[in-house]
Parts: sequence; structure tokens; C-alpha cells
Amino acid sequence: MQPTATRDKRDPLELRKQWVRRFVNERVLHLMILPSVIAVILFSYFPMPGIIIAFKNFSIFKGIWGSPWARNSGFEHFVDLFNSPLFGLVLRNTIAIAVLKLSLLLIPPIILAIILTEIRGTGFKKVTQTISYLPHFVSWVIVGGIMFSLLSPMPDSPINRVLMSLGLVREPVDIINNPVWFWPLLVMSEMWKEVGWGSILYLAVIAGINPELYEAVYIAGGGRWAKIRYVTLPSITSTFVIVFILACATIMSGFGDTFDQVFVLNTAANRSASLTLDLYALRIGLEGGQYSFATAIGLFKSIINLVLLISANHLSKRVTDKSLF
Amino acid sequence: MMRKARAIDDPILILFYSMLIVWSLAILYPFYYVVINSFNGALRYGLVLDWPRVFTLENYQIIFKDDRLLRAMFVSALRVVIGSSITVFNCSMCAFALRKQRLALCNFYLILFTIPMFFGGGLIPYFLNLKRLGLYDTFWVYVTPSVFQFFMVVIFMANFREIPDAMEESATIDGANYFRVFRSIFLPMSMPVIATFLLFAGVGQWSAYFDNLYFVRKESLDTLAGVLLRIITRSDISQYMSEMYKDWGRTQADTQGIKLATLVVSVVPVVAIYPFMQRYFIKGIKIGAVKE
Repeated sequence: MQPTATRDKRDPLELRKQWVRRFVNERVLHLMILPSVIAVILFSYFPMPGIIIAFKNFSIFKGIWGSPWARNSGFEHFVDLFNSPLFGLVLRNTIAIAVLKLSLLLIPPIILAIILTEIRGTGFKKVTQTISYLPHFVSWVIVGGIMFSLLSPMPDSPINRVLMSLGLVREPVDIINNPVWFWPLLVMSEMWKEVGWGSILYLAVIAGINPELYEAVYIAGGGRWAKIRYVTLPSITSTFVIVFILACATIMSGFGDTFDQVFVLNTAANRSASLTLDLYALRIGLEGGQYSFATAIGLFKSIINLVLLISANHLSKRVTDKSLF
Repeated sequence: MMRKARAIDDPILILFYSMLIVWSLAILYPFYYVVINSFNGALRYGLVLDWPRVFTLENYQIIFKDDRLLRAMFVSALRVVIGSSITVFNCSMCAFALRKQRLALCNFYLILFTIPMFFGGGLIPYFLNLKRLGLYDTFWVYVTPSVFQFFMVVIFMANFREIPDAMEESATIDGANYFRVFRSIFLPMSMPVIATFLLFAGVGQWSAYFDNLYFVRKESLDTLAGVLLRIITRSDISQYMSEMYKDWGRTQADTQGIKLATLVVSVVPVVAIYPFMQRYFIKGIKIGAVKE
């Protein structure tokens, strides 16, 4: 080998050799990453070009590339979507549910976290917390099943027994099948399921607050509420902002567990309130075989979500100086 | 002499305690109701506060003798075991390789993994892709797509960085290769995080219903969650039970008992494991997330 002094270290051939040597030394590590690379390529990258179906009239026999292009220079399905009689209903449902949930579900976990930090008694605290996280691990299939049971229209179901014995209603009510009550039902059931879990994030942040800040408030003469107002809440603001912005990006999916909820709880009777964009795409696409149309819906949804994400981030930067990116 | 403030003295605290108690009861009651009524043989259900009106094990007997339901339980259990172990193992392995970020091609890998979080084809292209890959209507469609979870890899990476280099070096000096180091040092030292993710992945596999409904056709591949979803949304469940059920000649009202019993069978494993895992997962989340 030539002495190093006379060799140009930036010689591309030499760099390449070093790189290859490094690679060979680390080959076991690359092998360890390989399954993940394969999985990502197979399941995330392969489907990507398929989005082009939204602009074509897809036929299974002709495949993605053999299918003819849609009319209106490919936008036929989008035009059909916007003109479809159900589109207004579906959009209204999706957005209404998302907005309701956004406004009502982001605050309670904070309240729960604050309550939990205020109480003493570690045993009680631990037990209550454990119980509150429990519904998060139970699937919506199960929770939906429980809801069908508790809220059943039969006169002997718990809800009806309670309502009738309190004299609030004279006949048994059918809540799930009632489009008027469906949205509140979604919000309340998701709160039941997720408030506990949602509070974990805030509890972790609160646990990291410097105790000297609390002492400062105490010395300045502040009590419990002052501490919360001047120390606890400001510390969780940035976390809350991030949660909020990320939530905005899911509005078109109904935000939260909406799809699972709606999938389980939808019935013919409540469809005017329960048909969301995802459910509509599913029924028409996977069940109804109109693959192109359903893909167009998916694309529409993703684009709107992206726009919402960027807007929410921008708005937040303007108003509170904090943002995600 | 200062008297320690007692909780009872503070009305706000009393309010907080009561709210928490009410909330805990609100969470527990629906589970209680379902369990109690699954043992209820009477045709009247209602607001139950203690014991079933007519205690019976019949609902469970029917379920555990039903071939289709037993098969569904078996398929679900299988996918929990296989799915969660290969997912957790693969993600930890990948995180180990990426942890120092000094790897050749490291940035390439990270970019490769990050892009799909922002772009995707949507459901239909995903479905068509599954068919093209030959996974449609097979058991593997349940466990392979979830084998890489970026969030899991990130948390493992954060966790692995906490492990001191000295441990790794002493092993390497003794002649261990990378995989050995991973297996014998990093894995055992990350048990809380591993337990956490096994729980999450396991619960995800146990509860998954969508792939059963849309990516699989054979009855023999039905999962418990899939069967459960189908029976709770219908009044006539005989089409989902095996031949035996039709011979029973049960009336409609009794299907409620069977639905509830199936529901309980679906919930019990999760609720039973949960308190034990809870020890680990709070620690696991704090290690991974807060230290970011």
C-alpha cells in the first residue's frame, strides 16, 4: 500500500472503499433492519402509485395501468363526488362530529390530570388512575356491544329503567337508532373511553414541572388556584397546542375513534347522522366495488386534512407563538 | 405546633375525591353489568345492581361447545402470540441497529421510514396491494402488515440510548457480534418497554376486526373480534353459530345472553392481563416519551 502521506484522502475511490468497508463491518446491523425495510416497501410504498386509480376508471381485469382514464381529464370521479346527493350529508356528518369532539374532548383530560395532581393519598390515586385507563384498552367492538346492551330500546334495559323510574320519559327510548342523539352519544362514549388515557400525557408533563415555581407562587401569597393558573396551565400549553394541531389534521376522518365507533354503531335508522366520509367510502368502495370513486374520496380527504394541518399550525403560530412546525 | 392539614378539611378536595369516585364507578359499572348478565338466564335484564335474576352457565356452555366460536378464539389467540412477538422483536431489532445513527445509510433508512407517515395510497390501493401480494384470505394478512411500527422503533431507540456504552464494549471485547449484544444485553435491559409494547401489540391483535371483515373470506379465518362484531349488530345470530345452535330452538331474547357471554370472553383476557402489565407500562412510557 502507498504511504498515506502521498495519498489524497479525498480520492473518491478511497472514500468509496472506506464506505464499503464500514458497510461490511456493520452488515449484521443492516440485516437487522432489512425486514423492516421490506415491510415498509411492501405495505406502504407499493400501494402509493395506486392512488392514480382516482383519476381512472379502474377495472380489476385491466389492472391499474391498463384501465382507461376517467372523463373530465381524470376528474370525473371528483365531479361525481361533489355532485352526489349524499356528499353534503356525509360531509356535514363528518365535520360536525369532528368539531364537536374537538371542542369537547381535548379539555377533560387536562381537568382530570389537574384533579389527580391535587389529591393526595397515593393508593387511591393509583387505583383511580388504573381504572380510568382501562376502557382505552377495550376495543370499540366491545364498547359498542356494551352500549347496545345498556341502551337497548327494550323497556327493561338499564337506561330505560332509570329514565322511566325517574319519570323523565313515559315510553322506552331508543337512543342509538335516533339520529338526533347519535352525535352526543359518540362524544360521550369516546370521553368515557379516552379521558383517562388522555390524561397520562398531561400528568407526565406536570410531573416534570420545577417545584420551585410552585414555591414562588406560595411565597407570593397564592393558593391552589393561583398555582394552577400561573404554573400548571402555562406548562401544559405547548403540549396542548401540539395535540390540538395534530387533531386538526384528522378532522376529515372525524377525529379520534370516530371510524371505529361509527362502523360498530351505525344502523339503518341512524344513518342520516352516522354516515361519515370514511364509512361512505368503505360502503361504496370495498363493498360496492366502485374502487375509483372510493379512492377519489380518500384522496380528497387527505388533501383537506393536509390543508387543515397547515392552517392550524399557521393559525397557532399567529395567535399563541407556539406551533408544530 | 402545626397540625397536618387533613383532606377532610378542604371542601374542594372532597369534591375532587367524589368526582373521581363517581368517575371510577361510571367506568366499572358497564363491565359489571355485562359480566353479571352473561350469567343471567331470565329474559329480563334491566338495571342490575347485584345478582342475576336466574343464575345460569348455559350461555357459556353454548359458546364453548360451538365449533365456529372456538375456532375464532383460537385464531385470535394465535394472532396475538405471533403478531405481537414478531412486531416487538422486529421493531426492537431495527431500533438497535439505528440507535447510534452512525450507521452507513442511516439517513436513507430514516427518510424511507418517515415518508409513509405523510403519504399513502388510501384504503383501496392498500387492499388491491394485499391481493397482489397474495396475502388476501390468508392468516398472514393478520400479522405481517403491522410488523413495522415507526412509533415503536422511535421509543426503543430512545430507550437503547440510555444503555451505557461500557456494557456494549465489554461484550464486544469478549468477541460478541452485534446480534449477540442485542440479544444478551439490550433486550434484557429493556424489559419494561418490551412488556409495554407486547401488551399494546397484543391488545391490537386481539381487538382487530377490520382485516377479518374485508381482507379475508374463509370462515375458518374468522377472529373473535370479527365474530363478536357480527353478532352484536344483529338480532338473529344463528348464521354465525355452528349447526348445534340451530337445534337449541332458543327464542330471540336469549341471544342477548350469548352476545354478552361472547363479549365477556373477549374482554376478560385484556382486563386480566392489564393490572399486571400496568406496572410496566407506566414506567415504559415515561422512559420512552418523557426523556425525548
